[in-house]
Amino acid sequence: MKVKNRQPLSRHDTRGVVFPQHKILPFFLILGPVAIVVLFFIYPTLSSLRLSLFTVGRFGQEVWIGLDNFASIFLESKYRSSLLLSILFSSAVTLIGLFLSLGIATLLTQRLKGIGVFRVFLTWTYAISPAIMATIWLLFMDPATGLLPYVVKEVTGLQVHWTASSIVAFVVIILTAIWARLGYNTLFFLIALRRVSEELIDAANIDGASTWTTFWKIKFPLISPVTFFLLIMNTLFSLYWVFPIIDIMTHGGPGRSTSLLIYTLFIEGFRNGRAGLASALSIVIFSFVAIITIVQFKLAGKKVFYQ
Amino acid sequence: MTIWYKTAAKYVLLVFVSLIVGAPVIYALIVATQSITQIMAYPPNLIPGQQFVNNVIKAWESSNMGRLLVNSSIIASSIACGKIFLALLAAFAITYFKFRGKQLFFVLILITHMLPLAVRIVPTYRLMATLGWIDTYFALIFPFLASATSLLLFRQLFLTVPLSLADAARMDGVSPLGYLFKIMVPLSRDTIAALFVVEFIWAWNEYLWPLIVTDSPNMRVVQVGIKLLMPTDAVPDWNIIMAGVVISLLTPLIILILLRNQFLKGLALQEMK
Amino acid sequence: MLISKKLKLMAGILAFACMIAIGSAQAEVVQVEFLHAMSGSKLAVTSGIVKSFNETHPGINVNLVYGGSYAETTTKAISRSASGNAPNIAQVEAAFNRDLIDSGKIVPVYKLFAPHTKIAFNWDSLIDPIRSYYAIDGKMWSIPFNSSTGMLYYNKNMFKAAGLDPNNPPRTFKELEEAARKALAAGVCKMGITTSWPAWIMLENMIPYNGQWFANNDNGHSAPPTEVYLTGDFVMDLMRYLSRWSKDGLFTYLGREYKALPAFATGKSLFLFLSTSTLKSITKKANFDVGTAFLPRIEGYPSGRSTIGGATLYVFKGFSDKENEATATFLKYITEPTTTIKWHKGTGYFPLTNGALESLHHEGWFAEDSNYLTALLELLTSPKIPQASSPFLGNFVQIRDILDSYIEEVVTLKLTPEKAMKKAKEEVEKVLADYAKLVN
Repeated sequence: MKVKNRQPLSRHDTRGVVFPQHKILPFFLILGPVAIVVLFFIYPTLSSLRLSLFTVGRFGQEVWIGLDNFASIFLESKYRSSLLLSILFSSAVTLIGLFLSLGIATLLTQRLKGIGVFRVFLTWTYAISPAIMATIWLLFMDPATGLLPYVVKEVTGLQVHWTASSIVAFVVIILTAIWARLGYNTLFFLIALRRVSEELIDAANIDGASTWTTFWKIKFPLISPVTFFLLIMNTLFSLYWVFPIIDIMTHGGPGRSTSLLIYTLFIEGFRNGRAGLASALSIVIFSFVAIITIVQFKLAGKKVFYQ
Repeated sequence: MTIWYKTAAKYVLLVFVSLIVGAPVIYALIVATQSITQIMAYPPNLIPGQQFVNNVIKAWESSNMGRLLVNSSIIASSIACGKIFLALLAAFAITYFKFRGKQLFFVLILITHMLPLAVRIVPTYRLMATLGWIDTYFALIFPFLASATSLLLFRQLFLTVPLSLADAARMDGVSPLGYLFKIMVPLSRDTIAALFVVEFIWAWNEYLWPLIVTDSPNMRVVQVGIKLLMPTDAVPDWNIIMAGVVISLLTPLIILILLRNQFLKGLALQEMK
Repeated sequence: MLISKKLKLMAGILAFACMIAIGSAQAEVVQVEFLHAMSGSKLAVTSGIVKSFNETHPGINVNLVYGGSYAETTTKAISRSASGNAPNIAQVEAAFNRDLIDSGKIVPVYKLFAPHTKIAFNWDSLIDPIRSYYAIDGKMWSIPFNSSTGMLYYNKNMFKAAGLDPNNPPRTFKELEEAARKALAAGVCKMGITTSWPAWIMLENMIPYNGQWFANNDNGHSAPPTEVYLTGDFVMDLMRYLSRWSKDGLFTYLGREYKALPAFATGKSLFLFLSTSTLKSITKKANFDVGTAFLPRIEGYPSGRSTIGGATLYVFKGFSDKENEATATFLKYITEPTTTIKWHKGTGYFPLTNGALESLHHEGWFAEDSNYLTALLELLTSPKIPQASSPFLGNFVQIRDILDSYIEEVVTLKLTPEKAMKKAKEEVEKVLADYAKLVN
């Protein structure tokens, strides 16, 4: 095989490029990825943007309505509540979930015999899909034969029918979502906590710091990259992966009390055949994702401590 | 003396937390072993039954579980492998070559990170319909094959490889592709395995997309199949449903157990982005 | 050497010929795709019917493809036909008629039979209430496969235990309320009144049952509908009942569609508003005496007729004459006495034809279990009033969802009946306006 230029390249000469003579090969290499990205990512996103400005009928007819879809989303109570519920839901699931997981992870850092078993037991649920979680919780919460309503009744005397109460239904999906992410969050916190150097902790202890101070002043700041990462991941989870929980358990009801953005999108886009409105909802979700991603990049530079 | 109390308290707390957190799953497992009369009992019956094998068989048959598992496996592996393969090629091109539009290409792939399925779901569906891909593996696989994370990871990895290695290979007459597949890929084995575990499980758990894109019983995936075990117009046979749940949990669990080390590494990689 | 080579060649040709023969024999079998929404025991009966059809008609193969719930199946059928991939037959819920008919993508079934083709069909054989519900200008555009109407289920054992007469079920909302109060006070049941399919029962059934119009322009038949009558006296009275019952704990809301069924079938609730469609599976599952009754009416309103529920079969365009012939043959098979009797006995849905009805009567089927007769009697003894025509509204999947969710707002006590129905009316009328815009 002919090889031109048998001289070794120096680093500054081509900034890390090793095969400068191959002009065509790189294009073949990137052909696949480019095709995928353009066809299945860029084009549909632009199409979402376009469709959001139309009313689209079931059979594809398009009628231009400008920003009317967005007006509906922010002005009509039905869609606005979906928006507000999503924000409330994401915040609750993320904040409460992370708080609980941090607590459990801290508990799991204790040096006890057999702690390994507990560690596995409390984190393995990472692999369970939200759909399976939802099915398990449906059983758990069944008004007729479920364990949780029974326990609640025995303990508080209240017969709770989550199908008949908007508030309870909303609380139930928050609970299910928190539970679904518990394993994942705990696992990451656990790994991060264990990475905090033993020496640092020992030094603090010798200096007379209490466990509480050690935790807040040393460990917490040092695991902030992970905390940050989990904040992002949980928010994204609550925007999309929560869908099976709603679809299997509450179907957005009762009333519209558990109709989060992603579920409204599904109903409007794939049940009611309103592709225009659904696209507008997509764009709203996109805005959330964009905001979160931008925040992530900005803060990643500033507030996060590294060891 | 106080130390003894402290340790005991910690154990008690651990057990308590484990019970509460594990209650739904434990309950589900118990129900999966019970008979129909047992699951109808009120107050709820917590004694495990003898019907586990029977329930599993019934769940398997009524949901056509074999086909579901095959479908999910094919799709999840294809997505994981596809993502990794394409990201390898792209990272290789970016790191080792000079070509016009390299920056643009890089940005293009990174943008996909901000475009989760929810943002493009309606037009992607219409695209599938236009291409005639509804109800086929293609629709379930192709929209997911771009991964900004994988690209970044591989690029990072490639940059840590000393240039001298590439130079030596080049001078030995190794073609670029040969360099990629015979040298770089084996070097990246750990990363690839880690990514595979994470992407496989992620793809396995996908629910909304298969729900809207597949119709026929042959093309269903496990996640949607479980939902179908729950009848819309009759009393649910929870014991059979839970048996189905147990079966569907097995594959990701097995992968997790077999590839545990790679998985943990994968988690570390996930947050490093 | 040569001989074995020749042998190989001949074997090859023979195999090839066989393949062609088998291939073309396969090609002779016409495939008919039937997109349906049946599950559980209903699916079992449907599969049985399809299987015996396929066996007795070797040139045709009907494929059952599950589409999900009625709403999901209708949506799938429409979106697939929009992308050129329609099924031959789709099972569409009764109330979604207008969407299908306005779409222009279906072949009205009367065109599949004589005098348009050679296959004869006796339209008069269909039971009158069902036929008049579906007919447009006297002609049938679909074949009603599973038809039902709303009725009340009650637990006879609980009645006895509470000191109520099990053979004298409540006939008005007031009597219903009294019975529920008595039973709950006596502690014989966990829940009093429950309902399935909230909008279908409480609005679509109750409104014509009490002689009221659902929408203007003759329920949408004489011109596209623009108004729904959700804020009139009748609906307000009904919603106030539901609201009060929920507040007093007499009524427990368990979810849409069939979600309330398990509570009744497992002996936890006293009353269940449902339809005759699941009679068989409830009777099988229940370990108590199942009672059925006409829907209770609200005093002070005229007598009317409840609506037809269940689903009907639409045929889509885009298939060859041969395929349409096969489809028509299958549709005709469904309406044959033996088939429809099997269907009725296996589920509880109405037998489709007068002939089937007579047979069942002769063999004493209704005497055996009078529950199967309840819904039929309810239908056949009710006056044929114009208000009982099917609600001919487009975008009904969406409208049904709106109606369901506002009823839910009432029974979860989030909104007053007045507010809820006012908002429901606004939203539904907006949907109707949007539909008119798109289908002009």
